[in-house]
Amino acid sequence: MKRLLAVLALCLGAYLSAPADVFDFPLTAATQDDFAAVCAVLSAHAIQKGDFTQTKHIAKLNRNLVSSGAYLISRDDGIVWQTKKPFPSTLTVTSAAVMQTTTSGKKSVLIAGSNPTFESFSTIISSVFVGGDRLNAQHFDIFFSPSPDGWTIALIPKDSAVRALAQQFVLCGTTTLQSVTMHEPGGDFVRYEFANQSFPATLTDDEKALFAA
Amino acid sequence: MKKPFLPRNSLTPRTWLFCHGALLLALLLSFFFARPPRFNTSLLDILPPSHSLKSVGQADAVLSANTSRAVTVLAYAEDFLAAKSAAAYLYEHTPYFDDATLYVDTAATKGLTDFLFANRFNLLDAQTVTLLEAGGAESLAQDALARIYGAFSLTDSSLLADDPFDLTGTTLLRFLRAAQNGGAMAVKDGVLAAEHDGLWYVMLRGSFSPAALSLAGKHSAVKELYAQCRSLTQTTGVRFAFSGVPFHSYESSSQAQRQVSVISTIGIILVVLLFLAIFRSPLPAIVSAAAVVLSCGIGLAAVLLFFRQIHILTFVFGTTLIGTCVDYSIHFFVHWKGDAAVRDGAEIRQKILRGVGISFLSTEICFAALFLSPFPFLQQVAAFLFFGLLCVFLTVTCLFPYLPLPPAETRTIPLLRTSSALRLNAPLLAAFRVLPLVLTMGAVAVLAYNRSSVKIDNNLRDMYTMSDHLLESEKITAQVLDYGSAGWYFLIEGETAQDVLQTEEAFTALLARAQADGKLQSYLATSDFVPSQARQERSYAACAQLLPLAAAQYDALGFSDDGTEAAAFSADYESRARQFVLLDQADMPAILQSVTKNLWIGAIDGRWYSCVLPLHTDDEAYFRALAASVPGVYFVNKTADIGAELNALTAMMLKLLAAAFAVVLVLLCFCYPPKTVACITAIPVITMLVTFAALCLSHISIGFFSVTGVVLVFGLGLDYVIYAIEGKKSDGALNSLAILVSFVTTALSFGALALINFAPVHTIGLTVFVGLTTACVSAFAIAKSA
Repeated sequence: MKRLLAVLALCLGAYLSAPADVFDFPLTAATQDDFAAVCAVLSAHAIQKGDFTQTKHIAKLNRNLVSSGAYLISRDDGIVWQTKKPFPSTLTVTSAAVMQTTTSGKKSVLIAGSNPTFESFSTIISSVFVGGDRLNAQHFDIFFSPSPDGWTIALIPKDSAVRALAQQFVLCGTTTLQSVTMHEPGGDFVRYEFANQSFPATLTDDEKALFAA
Repeated sequence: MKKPFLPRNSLTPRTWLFCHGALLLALLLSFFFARPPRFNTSLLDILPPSHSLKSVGQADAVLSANTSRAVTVLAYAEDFLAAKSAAAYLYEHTPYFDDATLYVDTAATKGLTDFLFANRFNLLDAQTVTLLEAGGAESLAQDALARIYGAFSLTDSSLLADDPFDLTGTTLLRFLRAAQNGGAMAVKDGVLAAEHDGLWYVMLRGSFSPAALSLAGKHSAVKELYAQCRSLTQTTGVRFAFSGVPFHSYESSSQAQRQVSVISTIGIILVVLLFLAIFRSPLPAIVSAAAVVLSCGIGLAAVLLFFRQIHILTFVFGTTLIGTCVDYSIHFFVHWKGDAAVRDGAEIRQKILRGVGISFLSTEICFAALFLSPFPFLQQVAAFLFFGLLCVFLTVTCLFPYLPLPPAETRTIPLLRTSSALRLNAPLLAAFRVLPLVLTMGAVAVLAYNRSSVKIDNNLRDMYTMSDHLLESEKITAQVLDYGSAGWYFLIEGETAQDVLQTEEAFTALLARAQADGKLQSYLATSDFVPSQARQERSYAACAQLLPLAAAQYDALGFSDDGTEAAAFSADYESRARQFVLLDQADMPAILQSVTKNLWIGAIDGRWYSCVLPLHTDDEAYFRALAASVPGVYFVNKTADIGAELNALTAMMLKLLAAAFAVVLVLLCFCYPPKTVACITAIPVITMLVTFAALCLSHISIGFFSVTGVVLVFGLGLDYVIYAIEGKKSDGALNSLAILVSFVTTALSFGALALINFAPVHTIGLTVFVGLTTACVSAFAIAKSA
């Protein structure tokens, strides 16, 4: 509770100096403690789930593809994204692989676990969505800025192979993560907005089955 | 008067000059008309072809030539950046690579995407094509939409306007997965890297240039690379693992070269000391050494003339010439120094010519037998020894007689005065008469007791032992790369390139089934990346099923519903009819070229070949049978195939030995009475039995190299008994001394070979040493009986 109050106080205190662009505020020794407090709040729960809306912006076509569904993040098991509309699919990120199951039930292993690209991708995605001490300077150049509505974190992956997929991430939130925007090379971006978040203590059997290979 | 063995006037300096001059002149002229000669240090080249079918053997040789220069160096450290910096230093400071790869352009995936987009209609995999042909276009379209709208899509969304069914994404995923079958390394920070047990490994790959590989000694490319890596380890702490044939070739040949240098030096010093002790004059040592150097030079010239190359290990075998060359000199010089009765050198030649001549002929018959083997390396050795021995024979008989004799009063050998044991009729030698019988019985007993292991067996794994550090390197590389090579592979043969690709596709369909059955984890094949034209046509035709769905697909993706995009899609499809991806097309992405260049062999003598690599499997028998079931597919296991080839060659060598034995028998029948011939011919039989028994006790199988040694023993062993029988007629003590000194010098050179670690050379050395010792002992005993 003290941490929560500290984050709220931080947000309030920063209201008067809201940044124009988070990339103007690299993480410094002065903001390190506040950043750590935000990370601690983000990673306070072993399991979180909720609904998401995904907006995929295609710059070249000047077009947005919007989809929505439910997500489940388990610190120990991985991440599941169940897209429900307009076309159902499930994407599972575990320590073994990134797998996608489509409407027809066809399961494809997008990246196998033995591949270092997978490790980088898995590490980055886990870091972004689970937070905590995984958001560190080893993997990212970090930018941090409190704003009137909460806080904004920007992450630039240090690995050039990862940057070829995702140039930067921008995370916005208050006491929970509200949105993540992943900017791709070429001007495309994907924004994930979260709602109805809850933090159960354990996974149900059906949820456990989602992580099974 | 005894008939001269050779017309006396035929052995003159003019004969010597003519023979040597003709060979050297021919070599000189060949420089103008043939390719330049070269030194060969490749370990693989001493082995016979690994496939009995000539054409397939040639394809395999091309594949080996491609891979035999390839090396992988892993720089590893706990800190990724330290490992990367060390690899980068090597990359920038190693001048001996033809092509080296460290950095991976992350834009390469974009290039591959563009290529796959341009060919998206004809590169679909067999499963997708089958789905479309079976009316599954709707399912494919729905799956594409699910991927496009799904989370973390790897699809390049900007292509959707022209590729609404995400055919590019489907193919890209398959290509990347197939390319990953080649190992566990992936791009990290611009280089190929992998993390294993807390260490970061950065991979530097390349092919040594042929010139760099041919450099020996201190300029060896491998040696310089090792030195650079040692220096980097000392300064940065980054360690290195090495993998590739050049490292093994370097280690084996450099070790052999080092050992040969030491052994030759010691051998020559000992022989010189022996000469000085016996002859008390530097002249015999100097002249004999000159004869040895000259015979080695002539041997080298002959090999270069006939083969245009000489393997470095031919020199290892060539050291045996030291022993045989000196034999003839010794027989001359014991008379030169110990026979006060002779008036000139020509008289000495007359005395020794019959014994030396018959020995020379019998030995040359054995070397000629070696030359008949269909194995280039052994032919080189045979040519080297044959011409080297011819040279020394001519030198001893044509030039030595012109050496000035010492004064008659000093013509005595002190050693002979002090050693009555050297006389053939001495009591001690009488005891030797039973020795051949004892040796024979002992050998028969050993062979009978171990009869189950008395068989022809050539196992390549026994012929080369990796050094500890190279073994460790290979283990690290195998663990980190997780390449999963089975050690065997398939060669695909066809009349045209398309024929090969189609055969590959038929065969990889069986491999895919085996993969589903868990018999192998994966495989690499060219046709997975560049399908045959027939399959591309089928893929293109199947895509026609998507055209009626295009309007609905564009609608689902939020494009206008006026049919404009669908019409453009159809027009684009039509425009790409008869557009095929070919192996030699110029815009092939580098990432594809690098995968296919190791698999595609190309045309050889009008037929086409490729290689299919099975990965992570050990069921050799199953896949051997599978390959046999598809025409044009050949299973190649180099280790087993070369072993089988060597077994066949070993059997052939034994037959050649039997033929040489018959020829020598005929020759001896012209020179000696039947009883003497029987005694002489008993020597090879006893020698062979004792040698095989010794090999059996040393746990060395009867293999190609031990039989090669037996052939040499056969030729050299006969010399002793011939000398002993010839010497019995006159000059008994002098002759015995000559035989013993000959034996000691030859045993020195062959015994020294037994000390070399390189298994084939060690085996030959041991075989010949044991064989000659038996032959020498038996010669004295049997000569007495004869």
